[in-house]
Amino acid sequence: MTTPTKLNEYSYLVEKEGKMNVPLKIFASEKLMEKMLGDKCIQQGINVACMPGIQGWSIMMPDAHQGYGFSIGGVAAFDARHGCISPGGIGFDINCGVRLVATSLTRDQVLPKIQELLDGLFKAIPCGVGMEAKERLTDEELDAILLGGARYLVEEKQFGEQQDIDNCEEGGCLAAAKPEFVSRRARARGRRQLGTLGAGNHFIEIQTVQEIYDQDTAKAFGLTNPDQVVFMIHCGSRGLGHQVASDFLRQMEEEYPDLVEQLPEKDLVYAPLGSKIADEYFGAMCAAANFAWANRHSIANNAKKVFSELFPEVSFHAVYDVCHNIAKKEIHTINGEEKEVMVHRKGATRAFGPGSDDLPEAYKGIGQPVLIPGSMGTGSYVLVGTDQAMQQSFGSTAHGAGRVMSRHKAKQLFDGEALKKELEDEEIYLKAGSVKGVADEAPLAYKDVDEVIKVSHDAHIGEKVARLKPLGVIKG
Amino acid sequence: MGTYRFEEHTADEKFIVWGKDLEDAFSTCVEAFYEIIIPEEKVQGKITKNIEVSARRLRSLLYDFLNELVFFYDDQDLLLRNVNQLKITQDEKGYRLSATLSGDTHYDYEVEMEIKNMTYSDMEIKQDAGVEITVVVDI
Repeated sequence: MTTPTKLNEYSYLVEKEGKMNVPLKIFASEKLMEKMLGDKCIQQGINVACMPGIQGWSIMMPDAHQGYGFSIGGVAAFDARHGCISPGGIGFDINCGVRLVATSLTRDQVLPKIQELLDGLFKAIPCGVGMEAKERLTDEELDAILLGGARYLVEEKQFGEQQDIDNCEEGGCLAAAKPEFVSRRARARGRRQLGTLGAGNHFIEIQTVQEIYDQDTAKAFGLTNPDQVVFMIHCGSRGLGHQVASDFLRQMEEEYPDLVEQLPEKDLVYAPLGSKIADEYFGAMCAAANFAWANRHSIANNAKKVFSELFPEVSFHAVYDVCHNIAKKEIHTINGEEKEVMVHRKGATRAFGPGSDDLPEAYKGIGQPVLIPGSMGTGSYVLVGTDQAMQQSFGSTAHGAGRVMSRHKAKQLFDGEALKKELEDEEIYLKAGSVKGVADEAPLAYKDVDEVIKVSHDAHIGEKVARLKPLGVIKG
Repeated sequence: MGTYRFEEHTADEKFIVWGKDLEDAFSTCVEAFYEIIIPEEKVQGKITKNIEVSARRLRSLLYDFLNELVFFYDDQDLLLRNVNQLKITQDEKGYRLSATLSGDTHYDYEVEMEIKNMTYSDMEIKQDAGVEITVVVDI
């Protein structure tokens, strides 16, 4: 494999060679590059550069690590007419993403009641392995959610507020959704999972604004003062999304057996855009994305109720809700020409700059809020999308810290109870389905989120607005 | 029953299985699969399910088979840890697997981990004197 050439302090390039249709661009510092060279992710970025119809570059974000087929932390834009769509380039957890809600409370108000708050949230929101929603959705309800996402919950069910969907990517609903292509099995898996967090790296965190880097932008996003309390939800489309990805990966494999034989990794399988199977997958993927928005929306609004019970005077501001596993049809300027492309973001966050028509009125002049969750107990960031991101990365930046250590190793090295205690010493309170189980989510099992953000900021693909520090963490 | 061991994997769970033949190796995959989810080795065989999958390639057969276990967990809360019978046949269209598995709902067990999906990542099925299978599941 070719070693990437360092361009500057925050980016590397692998020139086009062999079967590559475009070069590979990697946003990374030396420190992060060292980690990337430790797994197969760069080869995966090269493999993506070989796919049909890819435009500009195959791109890897500073938090990139090895995934299935595509690396996690990868962006690829395919010609909307002659390109392709790949379930493995979107991720199995379709529309895994982050929602951030600001509150009118301060740290001093919340700290004395933090345990009560965590207990209340834990009770109100099913978290962790084997935890299902209290209700089983009927086919009609599930269809409505697959079609209408969070927008359906606000407009038809009067659940949540208009601002929740205004300040949400796509207004909480992708209109291209086609629920008829979401299989019976995918529906069965999702039926009891609306409003549930799931396990793994998904979380709800109560956080405080620790540092503001850009006062005006922070204020516009509703982050007005240090020590302000906010809450962040990180989760996706649960079993439903996974099943949609899996169903179509298998269908594409059956449809294109010769292609599969040639691929370096089977999870790279794709369908040409314009084919029946590509259309069906896109429709089903959009429906799964809507399910994920409805899921984060339900969790957020159930969390608001818990806050309101303990703090009757509290008010909320929906900062934003953004996904980091998705493919979308977008117009980008490539080699000076406007072109429609299918942008795959797998473990990468959209970071549209000011002026984009896709942003809510309130943020149009500023740029899109970009929400980057850190590892448990460290810190998360709010960034703002930039013009540079539009030019350099198809309007995308990183999505998180990215794992560097296996769960087995983390379990050997760390002890859940001790970790809980250590966090408590820093006034970070943890509530988890299994405290023992949180050992594998230990901060040291992840890359340094600060380093990831520094690269995004220095490369101007997502600029720092505020750092958020956890106060209470709920894990599955 | 064959043997298995877990390998280091940054983000997910990877295991390698050795069996005397395909059927033995596939059955052992079920063992390894459930070791990720629950620490106990014994699950009572209260509920029995028949699983039938067919696929053009062996690797796809394995993918679909293990994804059935994911499905039964999400849909019916089932841990189908006991393989009562498992048969793999081959014809001109490809492979067919039919199995009878038994188990229990997860309510009385300490569930440690959720398996979200099967993957093709690093998957290998080597058939020699015995069968060696490598699997990565998404957690």
